[in-house]
Amino acid sequence: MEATFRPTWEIGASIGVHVFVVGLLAVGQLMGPDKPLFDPNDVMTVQAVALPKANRRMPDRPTRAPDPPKGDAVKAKAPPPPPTASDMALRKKKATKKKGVADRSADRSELLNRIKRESLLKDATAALGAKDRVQTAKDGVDPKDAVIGPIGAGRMDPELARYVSQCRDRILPNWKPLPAILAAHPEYKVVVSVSVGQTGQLGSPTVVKSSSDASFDRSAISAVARTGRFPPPPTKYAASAAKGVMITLSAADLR
Amino acid sequence: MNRLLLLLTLCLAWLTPSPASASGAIHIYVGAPGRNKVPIALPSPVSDHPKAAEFYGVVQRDLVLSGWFDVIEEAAYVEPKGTGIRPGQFNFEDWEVPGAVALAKMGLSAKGTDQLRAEVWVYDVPGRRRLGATALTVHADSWRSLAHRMANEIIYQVTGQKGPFNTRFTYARKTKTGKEIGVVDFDGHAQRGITSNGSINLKPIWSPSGTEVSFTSYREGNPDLYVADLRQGKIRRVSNRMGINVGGVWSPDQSKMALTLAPDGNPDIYLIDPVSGQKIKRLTHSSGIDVAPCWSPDGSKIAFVSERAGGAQIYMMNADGTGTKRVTFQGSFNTDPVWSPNGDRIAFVGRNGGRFDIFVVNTDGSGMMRITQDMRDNEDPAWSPVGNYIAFSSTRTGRAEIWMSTVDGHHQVQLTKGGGYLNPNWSPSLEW
Repeated sequence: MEATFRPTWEIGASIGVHVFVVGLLAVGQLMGPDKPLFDPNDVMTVQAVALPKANRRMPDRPTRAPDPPKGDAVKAKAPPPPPTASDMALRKKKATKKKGVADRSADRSELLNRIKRESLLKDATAALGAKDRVQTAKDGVDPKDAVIGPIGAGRMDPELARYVSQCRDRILPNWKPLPAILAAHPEYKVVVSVSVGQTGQLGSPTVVKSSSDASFDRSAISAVARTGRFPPPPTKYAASAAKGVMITLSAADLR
Repeated sequence: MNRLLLLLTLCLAWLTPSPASASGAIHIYVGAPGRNKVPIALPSPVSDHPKAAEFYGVVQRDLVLSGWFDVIEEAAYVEPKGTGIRPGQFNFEDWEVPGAVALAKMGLSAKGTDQLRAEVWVYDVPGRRRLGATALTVHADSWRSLAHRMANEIIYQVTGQKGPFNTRFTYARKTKTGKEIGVVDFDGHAQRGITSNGSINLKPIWSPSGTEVSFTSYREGNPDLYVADLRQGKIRRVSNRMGINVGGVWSPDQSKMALTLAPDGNPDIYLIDPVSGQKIKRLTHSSGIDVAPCWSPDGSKIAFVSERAGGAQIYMMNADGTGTKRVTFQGSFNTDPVWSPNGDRIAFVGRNGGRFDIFVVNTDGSGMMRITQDMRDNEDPAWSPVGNYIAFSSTRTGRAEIWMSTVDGHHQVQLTKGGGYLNPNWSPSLEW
C-alpha cells in the first residue's frame, strides 16, 4: 500500500498541546514572582550527562572550579630549585664562552639566582616553624569548593555545603573498613541512605547501592549507625533530610 | 488515536520532574577513610602450653605497637574461651557483639619434646569470611620469634602490609665506662650484647643480609671501624686509618662499604672493600666536612652530609662521586640522612630551636615533612625494612630510648625501657 503524507487532526492536536505547555510555563513565570523557580528540596542531586560531540560547551550556568593540580602538575608548577654548585659552575662556563658580549647578563643572572636562593632560604626557615607540623586530620571541604555530585555540575548552597562537610567529618572517624580491602579495591563504593530528624537524629541506614562486597557494605552501615547523630539540618533542607540523606562511601579519595 | 496518546504521554513525561530531583536527597561523599584503627578481637590462643600466656602477650603488644589496631578487651568477648579457631567452629555473630572488624584466632601446642607449633586464622567479621591462615613450627626456645611471626601474619592479612615484627635493632647503649653495641628484638625485648670492651663503641649499622653489624670503636684508642659477624660471634677490624673511621655502610650488593675517613685531617667520604678494608676510591674532595654516607636502595647514589656551603646540609651524589646535588635547603643544620627502602625519600635529623627533630624529604628536596616536634631531642632515624615506620632515639621521657613512628608521624611508641639507647639501626627482615 502506498503511504502518502496527509495532515491529520493528530498533528494539529500535538501543536495545540505544545502551545498549551509553553503557555503554562509563561503564566507560571508571570504569576508566581514570590516563589523561587527551583525549590532546594526538589533539586539537590544533579546527574552528569555526556554532551554531544558537536556541542561540548556547557550551557551558561555556574560550573565547578577546576581541581587543584595534583602530583606531577604540582611539581611542574613548583619554583625551580636553587642552582647547585655544579649548576653555577656550568653557567659560568657558558657565560665565559660569550665573553665580552654576555658578561653583564651573566652577572645579572647570577645576582638573580642569589636573590632567589636567599628568598628560598627565608621561606625555608619559616617553614621549620610550628605550622610545618604534619597535618594528619582530615580538613573539611571549604564550602566554596563544595559541589553537588562527583562530576560537579554546579556550586552548592554554602549553608548546605557546610552541613554536608560537618556530616562527613562525623562519619569519617567511625568508618573502619578493613585496610586490606581498601588497598586491593580502591574502586569500591557503597551508597547508604539514612533519614535525618530535625534534631539530627539518624534513622536506620540502608544500602541503596552495594559495592558488591558484603564486608565493605557492612562497614559503611556500621559507620553511619555508630555516628548516631548529625548536626540538625538547615531549616530549608529539613524536609529533604527527613526523606533521606544519601551517603556515598568510597574506598578512594573523592576530593 | 494511538499517536495522540503517545504524544500526550511524551508531554506529561517532559513536565514531570525526573526521579532524581523528585527524591530531593542531600548527598554526602565520604572518601579515603585513612588510618582509622581497626577494631580487632584477639582471643587467647587455644592451648595448654605453659608459654601460651607470654606468647599471647607478645602478639598482643606487637599489634598495639603497629598502630593499625584497637585490640578489643577480652572482657567484651561473648564467645566462651577455648572455642575452636577454624572456620565453622565458631559463630561470627559472637564477634559482631564487641564490634570486631577483624578476628585473629590462634592455637599453640607442643610438638615433640622441644618444638612449638603455632597456627593463626585471620577473619573478616563483617564479611564473615576467612582472610588467611598460617602455621609454623620452631624450636621451643624461639617462642618469641614465633609470636612475632604470627603478629606479622595478622597485620599482613588485615592491612596488606608486611609487619616489622621479625626484625631487630642494633644500638649503642651508655654504660658506666662508655658505650656498648647490642641487639634487641623489635619490641624491646631479648637484648644481647655485641661488644663488652668497656670502651666507646658507636654507630652500629646492619649489613643488608642481616648477618653482620659494622661499628666504630675506640678500644684501641683511635676511632676504628669493626665488623661483627653475628652468626659466628666474631669481630674483625676493617679500617684503622689515622683519624676517624666512622659510619661503615654496605652497598646494597655488599660489594663495597662507604665510610668517613680523615687521613689528612678533613673528613671525606671514601669507598673501601668491606672484607679486606682496602681503599677503593675517595668520593668527596670538598674543603668542608663530608660525613654520614648512606646508599640509595638501588646502589646508584649516596646521600651524605656536607658543610661545603656553610652549615651542615644533606647532599647526594652518584656512587662514583660525580653529580653532587644539594637536597636540603631548609634549616641551618641537617644531618644523618637515611634513604627509604623504596628510594623516594630521605629521613634526616634537623636542628630547630636548639633541639633535634626527625624530618623526611623527597629525594628532589621537595615535600619536607616533620615527624617529631616539641619532644626534646630526636635523632638517628632508621627506616623499617618496608619503609612504613621510622625508628629513632628520643629523650622525650628524660632518658634516651628507641621510639618508632609511622611515616606520617601520627603514631609514635616507645620500644625500649631503661634508658641510654642511642644510634638505633633497623635490621632487614630476619629469618633467624
